[in-house]
Amino acid sequence: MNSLTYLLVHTTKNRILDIMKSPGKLVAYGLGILFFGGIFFSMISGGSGDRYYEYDAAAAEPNFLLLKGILFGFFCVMFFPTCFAGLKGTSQYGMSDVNFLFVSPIRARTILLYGILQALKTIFIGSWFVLFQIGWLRGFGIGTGGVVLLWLAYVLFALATQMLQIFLYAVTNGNARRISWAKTIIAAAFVPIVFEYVRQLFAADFNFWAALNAALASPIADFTPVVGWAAAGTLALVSGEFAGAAIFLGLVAAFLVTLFVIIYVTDPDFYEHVSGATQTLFETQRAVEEGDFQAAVPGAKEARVKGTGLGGEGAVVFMYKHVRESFRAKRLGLWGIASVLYVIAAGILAYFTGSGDSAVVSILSTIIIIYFFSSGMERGTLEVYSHYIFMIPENPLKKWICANMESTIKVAVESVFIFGVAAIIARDAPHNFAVAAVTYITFAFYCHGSSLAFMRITGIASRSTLLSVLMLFLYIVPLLPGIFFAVLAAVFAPDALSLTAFLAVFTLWQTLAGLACFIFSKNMLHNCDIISLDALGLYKNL
Amino acid sequence: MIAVENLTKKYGKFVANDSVSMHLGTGELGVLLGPNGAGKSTLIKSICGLLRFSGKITIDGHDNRSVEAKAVLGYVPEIAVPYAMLTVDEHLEFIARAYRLKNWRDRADALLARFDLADKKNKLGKELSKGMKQKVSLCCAMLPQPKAIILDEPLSGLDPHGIRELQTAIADLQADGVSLLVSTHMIDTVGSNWDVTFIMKGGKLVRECRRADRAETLEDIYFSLFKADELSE
Repeated sequence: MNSLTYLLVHTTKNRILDIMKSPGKLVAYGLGILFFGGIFFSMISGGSGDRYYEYDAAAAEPNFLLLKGILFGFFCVMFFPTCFAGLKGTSQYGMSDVNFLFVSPIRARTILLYGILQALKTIFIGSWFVLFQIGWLRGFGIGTGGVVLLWLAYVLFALATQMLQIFLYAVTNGNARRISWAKTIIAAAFVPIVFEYVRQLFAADFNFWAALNAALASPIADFTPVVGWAAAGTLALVSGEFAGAAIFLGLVAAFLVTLFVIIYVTDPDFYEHVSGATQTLFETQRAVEEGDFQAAVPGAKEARVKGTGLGGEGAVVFMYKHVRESFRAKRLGLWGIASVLYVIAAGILAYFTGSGDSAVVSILSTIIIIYFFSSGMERGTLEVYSHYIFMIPENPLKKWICANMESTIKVAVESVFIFGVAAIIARDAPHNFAVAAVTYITFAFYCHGSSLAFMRITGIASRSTLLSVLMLFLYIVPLLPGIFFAVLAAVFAPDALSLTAFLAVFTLWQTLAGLACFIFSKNMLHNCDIISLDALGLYKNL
Repeated sequence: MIAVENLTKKYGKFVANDSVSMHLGTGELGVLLGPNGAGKSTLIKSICGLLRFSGKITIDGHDNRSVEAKAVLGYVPEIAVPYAMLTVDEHLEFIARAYRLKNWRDRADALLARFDLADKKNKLGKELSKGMKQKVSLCCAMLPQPKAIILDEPLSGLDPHGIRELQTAIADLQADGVSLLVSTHMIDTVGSNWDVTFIMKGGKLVRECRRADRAETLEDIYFSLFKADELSE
């Protein structure tokens, strides 16, 4: 057994043994296997498994294009970051690979092959999320069998883009001129579809939606390299048009094989660039593990020192500090590019939904979910990874409130803009947009209160992603009576005001629940564990 | 100044600190020794009120979680993590404002000069090297002039000049009556000023030596204990 095979076999074996040792992981994997086993069983035993894409030329055409658009967009979202990661030298290699393999007497292309196998493993493990999309894909007439085919197409696409990533970093190898050329070539591949869209815009009197449909329906979209091939091939595959699937997915497969052959034959020297990028990534990961969670905060790299100084005294200084940090890290101060995108997306949604109520529900539910999962990266929440907030001799509740003040102000202004713009565009039910704006602000308030209550329940001042998912239910439970009362209010209110009544009652309950959390946990900051490597280790082994 | 009684800290089933009791008097320099995993950092974090535990800890007679205790305690963590988006000078301003300090500017400038940070006042936290981060952390702990300072591996990452300045600072603080508890693996750097040594192993305090009672050096005490243990194992 050669060294790389030994490495692959033994790391995989040890990973499996690690799972076997951890009851939590074992249960999670067991449930996963049952879930996927269920899908396969359902497919084999008939049921909806024999339904692929139910194409009805008259009725399904709008849906067909919508699905094509979704696939095209999704593949684009996967394609560009993968390419840029390749240009930066991001790779499947870890620091241990750099330290042990890159200095060993093994040929570079063999190590590259090892990297490809690692990528394959990652893609295979990460691709299962596609099967979870069965719910909404049924709305497009895709059955279980179709979802499995879609998953296979996705794996092929992901492999091709991964190969492109490896190819890009092998070819460019940190050379600025080559990187620039590579970017130009990638962009050039998408020029025809952009031109086609612009052409259709003029043809459709600037009806954006009609132009988008027309551009997607054109062969230019289908022949857009990799992304278009994958979208057209996937769509053909799930709709049972296997000849079309063979052509377009065949193109993706040919692209994959060609890149592999080029890489293997040229035996490239990629060590310097990859080891540099791997080391940078490793340093960031290590900083985060050591408690420097700010190392992972995006935007921190472009900061420039202009004005200096803080304000306030005592606990209030946390708010001043966060405002200073935010303005230093982001051009828009408290608000980042995400806030701008929220406002634009809300405007687009309000434009296309056509109804004020639908727009309010869609916008509010989306931003609430995003806020819940992203609030763990707010400056106030990140304070608990440093000792200062625990050790500064001030009232703990006051410290927590002041530490989260910047985030609350940010949400308040963001909310006014999001719902204000959406209300202007929708020109329908402005009262609902106004109440929804307050609902979003009180949700942020509830999140800060419930984070404090979370500390009381778990005793740990941390909310990792895994814990966030597990504790989501804990956050929802106190809101359930509020939802119940809100539904009652909506039922008894006049039809035109049912959504307003629902939101108003829910907002009131949310505020009361948030207040209860604050009162219930007012001393928690002085009575919980700061996140430490020990605690991280503990949770890793849960 | 720092009194720990029957401190026990568990992570799940793992006992990180097992019934630890210790006392550090006013103006004393205590050295906390022990191999990796002995429970030194857990003990320090518990004293600083950063971890929950069973037992009792008081700082200057106050419960260690009270605001009064926090006001008189300084802490230099093992891994210094300054705020990425604050400058060096703003770190000191932040501490001064948070602790409601008066007339702190001259003291802050003196600390920055002492630790070679005067020309780096406008550098952001994220731009600092490991050693500079450690120095900023030291300055932040010393600025409020606490009655007790706990230093967890304070020498890691410091350059020779930084080490010498810290040693001098420790001696000065000791002379000013500040209690100091220093956890370190670099025994020789503590010098001869220590008053009491706490040696930990496996989460337990296995030896407490008062300088006045013994003639040996710190190294002699440490290695005699661990060599004897290794032989018995």
